[in-house]
Amino acid sequence: MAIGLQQLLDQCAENGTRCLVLTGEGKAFCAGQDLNEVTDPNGPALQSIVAEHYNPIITRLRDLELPIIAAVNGAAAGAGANIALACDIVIAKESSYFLQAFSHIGLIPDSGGTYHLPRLIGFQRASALMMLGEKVPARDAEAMGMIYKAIPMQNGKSMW
Amino acid sequence: MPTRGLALTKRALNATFENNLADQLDMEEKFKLLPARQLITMKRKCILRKAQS
Repeated sequence: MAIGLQQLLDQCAENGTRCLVLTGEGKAFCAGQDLNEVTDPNGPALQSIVAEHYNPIITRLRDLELPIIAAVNGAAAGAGANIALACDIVIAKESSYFLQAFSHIGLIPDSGGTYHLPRLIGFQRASALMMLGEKVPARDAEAMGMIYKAIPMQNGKSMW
Repeated sequence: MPTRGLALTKRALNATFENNLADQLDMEEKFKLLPARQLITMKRKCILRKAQS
């Protein structure tokens, strides 16, 4: 999927796309890396996953010369949270949340999290969220400037 | 919670305002591998033990 997203972003650079909206299919925006894949002796090495899957996505998201909107629909955890934060505008369903889950498993944040989050919410808050791994509901994320807007439900229905 | 990961997180955060995005991604990638090796080894041992028992 990560390679597919890279290819899609490359196509957008070439085919005259004027705006791009990234959202998740199903209940989550992106729950991050599946650790079972990493610990599988026959699976890819974590180094290659970070270097070949996630980092090129972040670089493309920042280099593409068109507005990219992350429409977060549910959990945005680990690399998934940091992919959203690398977009130009982040909106989120009110029921969504952001989680720097890395510290829960003894890893350091990836996908540009240590670059974007301190610039968005300040060093102190970024340090706390990354070290403590606290879940940040969309409303709180908006209040602290992590995202542009938390979108409330209207008449019991979400906007997208 | 392993403190190695926290120490490396702190080092990455300390460097963030000195680095451009490319440098910071490189740093995250490099730092990720140090605690990850231990995590992966531990997980694989657990899987092996489960398979043996």
